[in-house]
Amino acid sequence: MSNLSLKLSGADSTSGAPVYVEVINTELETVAELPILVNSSREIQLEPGKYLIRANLPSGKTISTKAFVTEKPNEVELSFIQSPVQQLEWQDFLGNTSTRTDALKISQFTSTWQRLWSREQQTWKVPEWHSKWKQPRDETAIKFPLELPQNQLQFLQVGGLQIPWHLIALPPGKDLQVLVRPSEYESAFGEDITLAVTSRNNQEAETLLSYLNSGNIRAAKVVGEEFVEKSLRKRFLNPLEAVIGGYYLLKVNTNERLDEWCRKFITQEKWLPDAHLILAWQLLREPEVRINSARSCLLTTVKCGIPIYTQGLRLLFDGLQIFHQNEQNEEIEQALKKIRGYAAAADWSKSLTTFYGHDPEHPEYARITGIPQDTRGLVWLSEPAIAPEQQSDNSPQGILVTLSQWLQNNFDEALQAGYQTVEEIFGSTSLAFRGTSTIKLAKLINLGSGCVVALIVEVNQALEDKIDIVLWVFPYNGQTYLPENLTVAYISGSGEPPKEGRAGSGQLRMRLRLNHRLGERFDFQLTLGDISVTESFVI
Amino acid sequence: MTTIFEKIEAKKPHTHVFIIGVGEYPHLIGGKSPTLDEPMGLKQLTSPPISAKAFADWILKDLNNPDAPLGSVELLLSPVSVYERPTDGQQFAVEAAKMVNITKAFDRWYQRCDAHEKNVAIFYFCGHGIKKADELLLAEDFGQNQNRPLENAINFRQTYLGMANCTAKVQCYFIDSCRQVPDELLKLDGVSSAQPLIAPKLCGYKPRDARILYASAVDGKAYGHRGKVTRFTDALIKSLRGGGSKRDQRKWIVTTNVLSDAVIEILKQENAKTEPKYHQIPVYEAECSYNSTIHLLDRPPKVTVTVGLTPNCASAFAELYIRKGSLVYRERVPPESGDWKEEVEADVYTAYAHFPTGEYQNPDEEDFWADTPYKQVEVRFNVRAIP
Repeated sequence: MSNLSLKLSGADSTSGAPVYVEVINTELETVAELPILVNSSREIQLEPGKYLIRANLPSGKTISTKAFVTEKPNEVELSFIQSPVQQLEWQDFLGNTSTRTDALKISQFTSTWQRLWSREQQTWKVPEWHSKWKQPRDETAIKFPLELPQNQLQFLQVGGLQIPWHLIALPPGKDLQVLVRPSEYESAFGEDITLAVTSRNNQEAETLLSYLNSGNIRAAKVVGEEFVEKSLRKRFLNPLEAVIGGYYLLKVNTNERLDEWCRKFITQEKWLPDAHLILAWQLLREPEVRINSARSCLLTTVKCGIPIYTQGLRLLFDGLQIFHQNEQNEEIEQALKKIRGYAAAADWSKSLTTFYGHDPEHPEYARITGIPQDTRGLVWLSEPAIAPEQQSDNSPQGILVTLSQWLQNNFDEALQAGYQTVEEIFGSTSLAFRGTSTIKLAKLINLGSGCVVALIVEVNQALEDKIDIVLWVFPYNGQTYLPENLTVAYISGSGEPPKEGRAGSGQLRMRLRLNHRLGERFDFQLTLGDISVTESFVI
Repeated sequence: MTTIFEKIEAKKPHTHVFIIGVGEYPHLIGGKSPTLDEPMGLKQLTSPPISAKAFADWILKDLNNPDAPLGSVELLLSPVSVYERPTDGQQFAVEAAKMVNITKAFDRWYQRCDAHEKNVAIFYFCGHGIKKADELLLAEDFGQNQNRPLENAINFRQTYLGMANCTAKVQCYFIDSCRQVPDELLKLDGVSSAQPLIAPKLCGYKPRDARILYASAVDGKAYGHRGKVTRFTDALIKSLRGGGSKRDQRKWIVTTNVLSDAVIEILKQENAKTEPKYHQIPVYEAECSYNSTIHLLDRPPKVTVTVGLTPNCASAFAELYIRKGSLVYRERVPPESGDWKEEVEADVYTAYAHFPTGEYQNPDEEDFWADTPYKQVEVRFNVRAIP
């Protein structure tokens, strides 16, 4: 047998991260699998011959080299390419960066904001932003450090005029690094952003989490075994390492070591929802299940907040469902109802619990966009296009808008009456000004007491002198549903009695389809309580 | 009952397969019966029964797992049709994929899977899928009852949790459906009223090598051309044929780990050929993976290799060779030019370029490992012109 020294080289920020490396012989058999820490070497013994050495990075990228092992000591170095974007090597290594070449710049997303949510005494508060902050310009991705109080559950929320309000759990580590970048793929809701948060000096645990999250269980096992073995020899682990190790052991189902891990590291982290959850599942996996204790741990998880890691949210939802299927329990039912809301709004592809919603207590599947009315603790990631206090002011009323002009690409009257493109209001793709058969414009309607709805008018040429019109009313300004009892009325110019509709509880939108001939006139009236707004149209 | 195959030796491990393909939905848009008041934009589909049949064909003709030979196949299709078993031409009038038939077939499948620890359980569904918090798979008679629209939907997540009590240690779930969240579903409170095929239990958890391979990410769509096998099932069958295999102890085996990686990579390569709006991103979830064997290949799989030169114009003058040991395995000579793409049997090869007319310097030859069938190998020589 001969010695082969394998060295893995990468950027400084990736130093100490374990990478899953395979050694493959000329029979195409894997003869060795081992973790190698970045910027260090490891020796293995091999029969003399030719080998392929392949490193599988957590990002999914692979790098390989060939080695011709002789009877003398041999050395091989694997080096991975630096991130194309400076300062993003660690994020790139974990697979958090984008491969998109047509990505928008963050400044192109209008009025993007962020704020922190901190859980204190079972309630969520928005603390002031303490870190120094300079608005980024002309950047595709923004990275910034975040130093926060320890042993506290915290979420970062990012939203904007076009960006749905995201919440991402912050890992329980020191020296956090936040990355905000445009999403890899355009979603059904249009362009979006992606958030990633890492913690410095936790390379081993974060790499393990990344392998687990990407589904590369083989790599996770090779890296995880060594991480667990080393950690169990320590007296203390930080909460981040303790929790990620716990999730790993649950995933690969090694009960004995999970018991030891929980006794040593998990039971101390009482503030951390994930810790109670890992204990609950440890109990559920025991040959003699301690049902009462497991139930109690699951319920404590929910009382502590929401698990920080997506693995945890999945296990919590699964655990509550199993209890719900097996017993009638009011507390379980309530907890499941609450967590089902998070499960519906969650982005399951992320390592850290990420969901869409109004605040950490109110997840929403329906995307909320806009600027929060309460701007305390808000920090701008891109220039605000409209001052928040102005954004819900009504544009001029009483201007008669000629809809047939829209089909001739004449929008002067509409703009004067306060209509904008749908993109300007919602961030979704604009259909106006593009010469398509359907023209869509939108206007914000202020119905008082901070209640704003969006009226979208769709115009389509039907026959030569006839036009199809569809009027939509959507919630706006961070609301998911239309205000209850919002009344809309279509008042025809021919003197027919008005047609009315009323929004019920939990109504997502209202729609009215009309068909008019050239020259005909109608009004559309929106009423909420004492406030009434009328929009007037002529074909 | 549509058990299209059953051959079980007592006390021996087997592979048991449950296949559902639903294209006809009488209560959804375009259906023959009264449609659901709010049909969630869901229409009739053509690909699922074709895809389910293609998957069944592969299982019956090609599945080869000496550790767990094929024990049974349950097949349900909508619209109902006659299935001709490819191995012997025997015809089966396949039952419709209605909820009542699905539950009965599931119970038979579960009972067989539960009979031996080393059994391999395979669950395949192709049809409409919707999601809120729970993953729902829609049976043919979905929407039959306006008052209980979710009555004929399978709560898949809970079924998966319930299968944790099944003795079969290897469990694969292939879910070829969309995972979108219709507005109408958001308004329904009792989404959880969709029932699992087996309820999860608090006790008796059994460690398993379980894989769920979803055709699309949450919120995403799964695509199929009208009247053809879906993209996901096509990638799945390609992976089972060898794309998802790995060399182990002198055999080529399709394992739970490699199969998932292969399906994802093959669809990624397909995405590169389509518009971004039609990109399909499969995802998978794994539990306690042992990288178990699903299928054993009878010959090495094929790997695509590209040999190219930089600068590209040099390729017009180059003879390109792929050598296996000392024997030339493939060659390409002028006037062919540009990158040279070849399919080779998985193995270790040497590539080299030779300029017989001396316009460029001959580069050093290059060994390459064609060991991962779902990934393409590229060998590129940088060559220098001779002045």
